[in-house]
Amino acid sequence: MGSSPPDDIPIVARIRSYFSLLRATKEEVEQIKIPGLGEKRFKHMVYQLVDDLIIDLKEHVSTIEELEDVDTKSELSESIHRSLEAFLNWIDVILRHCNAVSLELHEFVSYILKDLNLENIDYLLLSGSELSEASLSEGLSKLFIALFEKARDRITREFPSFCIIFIPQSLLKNPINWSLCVHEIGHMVENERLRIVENFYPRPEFSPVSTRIMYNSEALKHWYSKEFQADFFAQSYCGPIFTSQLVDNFFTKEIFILPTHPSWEERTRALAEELRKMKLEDFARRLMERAKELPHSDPLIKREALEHLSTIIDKTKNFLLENNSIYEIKNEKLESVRESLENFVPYTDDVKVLLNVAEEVKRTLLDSTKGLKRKEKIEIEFDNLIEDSIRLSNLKRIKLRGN
Amino acid sequence: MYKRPEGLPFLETLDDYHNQIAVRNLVIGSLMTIELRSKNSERVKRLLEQSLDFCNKSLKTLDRLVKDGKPTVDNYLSKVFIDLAMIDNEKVDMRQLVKYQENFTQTLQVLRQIHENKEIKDVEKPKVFLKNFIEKVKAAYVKTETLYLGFFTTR
Repeated sequence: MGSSPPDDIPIVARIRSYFSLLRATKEEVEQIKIPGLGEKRFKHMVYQLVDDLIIDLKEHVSTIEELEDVDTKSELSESIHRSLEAFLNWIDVILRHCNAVSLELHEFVSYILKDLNLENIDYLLLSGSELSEASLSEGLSKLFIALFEKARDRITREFPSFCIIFIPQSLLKNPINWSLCVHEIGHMVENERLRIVENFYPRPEFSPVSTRIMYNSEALKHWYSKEFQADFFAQSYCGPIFTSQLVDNFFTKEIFILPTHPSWEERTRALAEELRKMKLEDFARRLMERAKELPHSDPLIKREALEHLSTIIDKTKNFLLENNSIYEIKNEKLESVRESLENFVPYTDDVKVLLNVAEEVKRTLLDSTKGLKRKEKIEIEFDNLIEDSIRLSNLKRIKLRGN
Repeated sequence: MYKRPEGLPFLETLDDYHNQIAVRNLVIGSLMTIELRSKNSERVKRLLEQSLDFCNKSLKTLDRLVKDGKPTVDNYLSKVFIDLAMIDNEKVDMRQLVKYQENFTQTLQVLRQIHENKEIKDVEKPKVFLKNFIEKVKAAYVKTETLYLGFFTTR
């Protein structure tokens, strides 16, 4: 660095500080336990990326010496700073927020992915402000573009589809709501494995959300189809519990629908149609009754305009059928779960049936309990019972199937 | 009536922040290419390739936005251009998009001259444009940065 003019010194010193910061982050990741199946791959990804970033960073230090224009030097330094700061923030968020997700929720997601033969999917579960799914790989690729090409190439080559499901606290604490996560799992499975929608409507390079600007109709068709597909996926897999939780938690007058999402009305209608196909006429009727209470809103494009939607749904259904993962009502099984739960005995056979019965049993229990304090106590104990049942169901299956 | 969320939704904030960093990195890459044009290193060759690709894509995107008259987003570059040209959160300033179109054309010309080892004319104009463009991107996404880091408050 002896040849650098004095102006370079603070700039280079700032960049140099990232060498130790990156190494410290690598060590921190090494030491922390990350719950869930994604731990090994995530840690491996971070180690590799840090090594790549350090190589690129060394090259930037030399480049700064070569640049003559002071503005370009400082812009380069600023861009390096922003990219690395955002990367380190991601790691920090992951490390801090992964532990807020209970072991039982991990077991729940793992149970579903095992059902679908997708255990090798790269994902992490984090607590977050909104229930949503995001691609860590795509986010990091954008942060590294142009300046950290080694790290970017690594993501493209080895970790092209690492995703994160963010789960809000209210949902984390209420296992009966967990079927809602299956909608996000549906997005994850579509984005990382099935890629059915993008065969018909090209995948846009940005997130399906904006309250401010207009998207072109192809992008809208892509996102609308994905929402209908994820609803279908979750309802077909979980049964009516998904729909009733969706209606109770999201289909309300207060929640604003992003223009890039289909309207509640259209989603409700699509779900009711599928419930009828599943011979769940009563649920379909109840759902449509609830839908009448919702305010009318016009989607940016109508469901009928999605010319390939029925094929997308059929292909998604075939995937679920191939994996024996479509929910079926079996009255005998429902009765047995009801009996177990009413007696506060864990049920450990089928998580989907468990959740479908749990909602009703919990409501009945709370209705028949007097006093707020007592109700709260019963609620906590019942939620613990459901979480235990989920954990034991997964454990039992691992033991029985040997996987 | 539906309640509009205040600020930006979570995923849009993540995406907007990543998009603006990507664009800033690509612009600084183009600036570095012009600055280091006399060096014949592998790094400069890579930067040149990347910068040509970026300016071509930007120009193609801007051509479409200007031609459409009522711009819609179709890739992440178009989202950034529209964000930069947005007036009062509603209207897109088309004159701004035309200016970007002209400036990217000039930048692309200079990059092509570097690529073809030709004599470079008017190298200062694209440099000034690229530097100003970075400042515009920074200014347009100040709020996004605050929200992004806000979402990422550690527990």
